[in-house]
Amino acid sequence: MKKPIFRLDNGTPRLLGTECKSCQHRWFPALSFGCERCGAHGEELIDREFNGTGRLLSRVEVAEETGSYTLAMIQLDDGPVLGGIIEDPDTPSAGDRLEAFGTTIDDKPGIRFRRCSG
Amino acid sequence: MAKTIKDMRPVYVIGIGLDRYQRYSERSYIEFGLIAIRAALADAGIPWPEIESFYLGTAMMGMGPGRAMIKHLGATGIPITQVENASASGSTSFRQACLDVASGLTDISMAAGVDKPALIPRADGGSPGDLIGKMLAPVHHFALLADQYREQYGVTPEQLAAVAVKNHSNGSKNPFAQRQKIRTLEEVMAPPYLSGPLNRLHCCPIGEGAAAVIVASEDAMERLKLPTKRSIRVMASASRSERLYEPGENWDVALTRETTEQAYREAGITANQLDVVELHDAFTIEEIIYTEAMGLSEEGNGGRDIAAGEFDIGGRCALSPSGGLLSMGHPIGPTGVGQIAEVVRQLRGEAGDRQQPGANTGLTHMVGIGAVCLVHILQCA
Repeated sequence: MKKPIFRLDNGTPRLLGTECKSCQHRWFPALSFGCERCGAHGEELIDREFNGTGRLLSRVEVAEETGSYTLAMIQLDDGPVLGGIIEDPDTPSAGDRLEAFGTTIDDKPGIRFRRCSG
Repeated sequence: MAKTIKDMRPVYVIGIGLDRYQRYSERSYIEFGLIAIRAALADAGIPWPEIESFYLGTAMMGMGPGRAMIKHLGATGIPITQVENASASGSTSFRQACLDVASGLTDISMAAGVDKPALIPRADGGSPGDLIGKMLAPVHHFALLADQYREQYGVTPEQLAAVAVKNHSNGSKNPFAQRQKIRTLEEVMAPPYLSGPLNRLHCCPIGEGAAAVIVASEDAMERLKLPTKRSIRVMASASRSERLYEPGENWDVALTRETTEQAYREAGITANQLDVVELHDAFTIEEIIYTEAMGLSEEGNGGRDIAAGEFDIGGRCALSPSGGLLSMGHPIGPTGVGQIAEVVRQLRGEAGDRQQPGANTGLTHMVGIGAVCLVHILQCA
């Protein structure tokens, strides 16, 4: 059974990751095998929820048989860098502020990113 | 204090052999693996029983393919080791063979690479929603890297495409290359695109093939009366893995920079002494960023310098004269061994139409799924 990688808090996505108490390194998605920076493990590693807000690092258009989409690398304000899909009528540029939003993908809850509304 | 390969006894490449890289076929790997091995033995002018240890780089063929192949040369009972290190499997098998000779464990060793593509589903075959928090398929990873590089340094689509144009031109002169067709800038920039600006000519073909090289000590070369003129000295063998880099740091670049700097220190040379470089150009953007990471171009100038022809054959340093992964191909296991074969051919002055004039010092570079990096430096004896 795959562990969930996010939850919706009143519709706002919270990304489920890990933080190392020893060195404060954070990563996503959650993995409890050991800290890549300092090697701490066991109780030194704690579950951590990250905000879905961050900054766009890079993006590309990908065309597949099932449709096209904008793939992006996003630097979360809380630390980790992750890959995600942008759904925004005005395609953001590198450096723009992004936020995750909950949506439905293949009849299941999922996450997309868009320009920050605030 | 830890030693480097240069602190031990000298190691020389004395034989090289290849079978042309190609698309997946029904041929057995044993058939084309033996072609490369026998070519290397013939090139060195020695018989198989002189080989004292055998390393086989292979990443996609499962357990123990080595003996099933080399028994057909006459089973001599030598140690056989299969080496899997992703795209750097062949480079790692070469390093291991060199270490055997350098340490005195053997006088003559062989490193080979052989592979057939695994028929696996596409890594990005699921819903795009699956991408969050997972490893991206390489084509997307490097398309994103190209976009990031464009934002930082303003590389143009034409400069990115110039890498593929150059390497396909070089590969058109290489009888061992999978792709032997000259490509125009228009072809390299034309749709359909796989990801961002990358069409298939920006991406290396993954097929099948084989390569083999033989390394020897001075003792062995003297005993067998091998011509020193055709023997190429291994000056450095650097092998590193990815550290945890700071947020925002380009880890593809950082790993290559660290490993190359280590190799330069071992060999006692600087980047401007390199005449020939075979690097991991699986995607066009990689040649640009690694050129900079190796100190061959200033940061941000790699694309401009390549497009200006500075790294053509006949330029200040020939980059990927074999055609590189983009044109010669990337059958995984053999790739790193094939790079050694190309640099040796260049340093011997035996590269024919694609010869870099006056080549004296060369470098090979492979990364394995971004996590490992191997750099070797070779020089005329």
